[in-house]
Formats: sequence, C-alpha cells, structure tokens
Amino acid sequence: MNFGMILIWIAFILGAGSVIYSIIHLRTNNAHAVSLSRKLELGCTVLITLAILMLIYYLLTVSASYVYVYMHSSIDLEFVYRLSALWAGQEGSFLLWTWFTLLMLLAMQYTGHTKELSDTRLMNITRAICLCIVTVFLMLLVLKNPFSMYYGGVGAYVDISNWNPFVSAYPLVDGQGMNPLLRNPWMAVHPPVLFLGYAAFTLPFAAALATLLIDDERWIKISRDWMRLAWLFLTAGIGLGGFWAYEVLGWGAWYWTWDPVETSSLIPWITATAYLHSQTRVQQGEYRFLAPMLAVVSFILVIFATFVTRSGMWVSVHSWQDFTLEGMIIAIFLLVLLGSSLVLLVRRYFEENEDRC
Amino acid sequence: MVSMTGMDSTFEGSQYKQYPGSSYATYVDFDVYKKGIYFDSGQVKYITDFKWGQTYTTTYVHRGIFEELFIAPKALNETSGEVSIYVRTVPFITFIWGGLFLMLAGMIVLGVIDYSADGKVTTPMAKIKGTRKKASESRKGGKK
Repeated sequence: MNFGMILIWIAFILGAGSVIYSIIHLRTNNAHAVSLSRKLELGCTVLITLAILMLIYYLLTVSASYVYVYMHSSIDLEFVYRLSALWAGQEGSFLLWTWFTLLMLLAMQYTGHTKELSDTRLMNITRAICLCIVTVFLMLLVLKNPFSMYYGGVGAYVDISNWNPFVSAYPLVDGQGMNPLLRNPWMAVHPPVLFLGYAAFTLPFAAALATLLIDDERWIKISRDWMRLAWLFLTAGIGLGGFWAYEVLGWGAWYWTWDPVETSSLIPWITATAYLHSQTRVQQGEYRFLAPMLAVVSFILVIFATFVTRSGMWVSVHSWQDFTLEGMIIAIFLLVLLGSSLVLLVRRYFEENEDRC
Repeated sequence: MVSMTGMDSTFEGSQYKQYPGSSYATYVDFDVYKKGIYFDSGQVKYITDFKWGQTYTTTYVHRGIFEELFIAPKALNETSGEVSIYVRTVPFITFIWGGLFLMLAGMIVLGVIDYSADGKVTTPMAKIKGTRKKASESRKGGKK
C-alpha cells in the first residue's frame, strides 16, 4: 500500500479542518474550536514530517517505482545528491516549502517573544491566514502527489497512479537520476535555503493582513524577526544560486543574467529590503499604510516567482514544465491573494487619509 | 595565453541502453601563461549525457582577490582534435561574494542584538525606573 500518498491526503484534510476550526473560533470565540484547530495543525505538521522522512528514505534506497524517485534519484548518484533530490523536482520542493511553513508557524506560536501574543486576536487571525496558505499548498500536493507510483504487470502497459494507493507497484530497479547540472554542492544547498526564505515570508504577510483587518500595532512584533529571517535566507539563496551559475551553469562566468526566475526572486528581495527600512519607523506611528503594504507585496511576489517557475510560461533554466493544472491553481491563488490584499490596503489607505483630514 | 596540452575521451557512469556508459566525457588539459610566464595548469571536461540528452561542461576558475580567471570549453571536434575555449578574466568578483557575506552578517548581528534586547526591556517605563534606581543608589554610596 502507498502510505506516503495517504499521508499527504490526511495532512490536507487536517490542514483544511484546522482552517475551518480557526475560522469558527474567530467568528464565535469558541475555545474548543481553537484547541481543536491547534491539534489538527500539529497533526498536519507531524504527517508532513513523516511524508518528508518517507520520501527521503525512498530516494536514498532508490525505490524507483515512485515516479518522483525514478525522475530524480539513481543507484550511481552520490549519497548527498540522492538526499538533495528531495528538492530537485516540483513535488518534493513544494513538500519541503510546506513543511518549512508549518514548522515556522509552530515556532511563531510557541517560541520567542511572539509567544506572549499566543491567545490574542492578532495571533489567531495571523495563524488562520497562514493555515489557509498551507492548505492551498497541500491541495497542490494532493493534485501532484510526490508519492505517485508506476503500476502495471511486467511486460504490460505501465501507467502512473496519482489517486489509487492500493495499486501494485511496477518493479523498477534504477531511476533516471539527477540532471547533471544539479549535481553540484552549491546547487544542493541553494533551493532549501531559498525555500526557507519563501516560507518565512508567509508570517509577515499574514500578520500584515491581520493588522489591516483589526488595526493591532503589535503585528510588527511578529513581522520584524520573520521578515529579517526571510530576507536573510532569500539573500543567501540568491547568492548561492549566483555562485552556482558563475561556476557551473555555463553563463560564461556571469552570476546574473536576468533569467525570468532569478529576476522574479529578486523583486521580493527589493520589497523586503524596503519593508525592513520602513519597519524601523512603524513603532513611532509612521508608515501605517506603507509597511503592511510592503509585507503583503513581498509575499505576493514570492507566489508570483513560484508561478513563473512552475507555470512554464517563461523560458528559464529554472522552468520545470508547460502550463498545467498546477500552474492554473497557483494563478488563481495569486489572484485571490492580490484581490483580498488590495481591498484591505485600499481601505487602510482611505482610513489614513481621513485621519489626516 | 592558454595552451592545450592534451585531450582524451572516455565513457563514464553505468551502462545505458546501447552505450557502455551513461555519459561521454572529453578531458581537455591546458597550461595557462601570464605575460609569457607559466602560471598554472588545469583541466576542463566537455560531457555529453545520454540519459538526459544534454551536453554540459566543467569549468576552471583560478581564484584571486582582485581578479579571477575563468576557462570553459565551448565546443570540440573529436576527429580533428580541435577545441574552442572560452576564457574570461573576471575583475573584482570576490567583492560581490564579500558584499553578500557582509549583508548576511549584518542582518544576523542586528537580529541577535534586537532579539536579546527584547527580553531585557519590556516597557519604556521599566527601563527608566531601573536606571534611576541604580543611579541614585550609586550616588548615595558615593556621598557616604
């Protein structure tokens, strides 16, 4: 039986349940709902952790009946690259990104100085928004499951199962392995560092939306450190990517060529840098519109960068595929984020103007 | 100036379809001369990967603080033994990596300082009270 596939499905159900109960809590102030939501969130994190460990095991042992393993791991691949195959493809990298976001969400609630906000409305809204985003990611993982499997009898027609966990696996002893350009130590660390940055952008975005909804100045307590962390990892990720391109890619000793994907990851870096400057004046009551706007825009641009990478609409060394259902879902998600953020930002803008008058 | 000293080709990796290896690699050895004087020797590879149906190269980079020498094969002709080489002197590239490192280090220092200061001062009033008490005690002690 394909346990990994089932883990992803259950994680999605738990994530969706956690969102529903957190919304019930926000509307009714029901303490039981928030407690249940937290338990479901924890359960979802545990399941995604198990899914990651399972996929790592399959990659290391080259269980090539799994499509993802077949596409990215092989017997002749070194140990470290079999491990880095976890983020060499679309499904694995999305799984990793989701896992990082879930871990950061837990860290925000239970560690550091944000712990003191744990039962506030600000934290509950921030948490609910983060869980909504995670649930969309989990839905994408359900649609394009990292545990999809080849099935069919030996010598018969071989097909891929994305929905049936009970099929008997087609026996494959070796995989295709990793693209030779990715077999490089810098490339092994570049994607996870970048995904850590992408994941950390979620929390300032959610906190900014929360303050746009309820006007709580303490949002800066959440966004300050997490935006710094996001900036730190994004800078390191872009730098490592540049170093890899300089040494390996054959761009002719250029570390930057305005490739669509690297450009789209630079834009949130610029807005995040602007945010970090603006947040120094937020505690003095300034930039009440600009600071949340920059936090929101930074995350939306991260999702846009993901769309650029995964939609295949732009020709890039980072592109994975042609425009598919996954690309369309990311596009819809992007539009929803953009629309809802725009409504809240316009409201704040006019409120600020009224206050001045 | 770059002078080729040798070229050798071999199959690499495990057997793939009709090929004895999964890729075919050509090793190009060369000597580098700076102002006519021997400077360094290096090797680059031009690889055709059958599994992935693509060609790629390895590169030679001689690191330096103010400039780096970058050499990579562009194309080669096995039968005639000719190889086209891309050579570029990259000025001040170390400053790019150094600048990135400084930015990261700066952000880490800023984060650590702010994070450790958070626990110590909870409100502006607490900070003022604490300072005043200590100052007044030391002054009293001083007078005695």
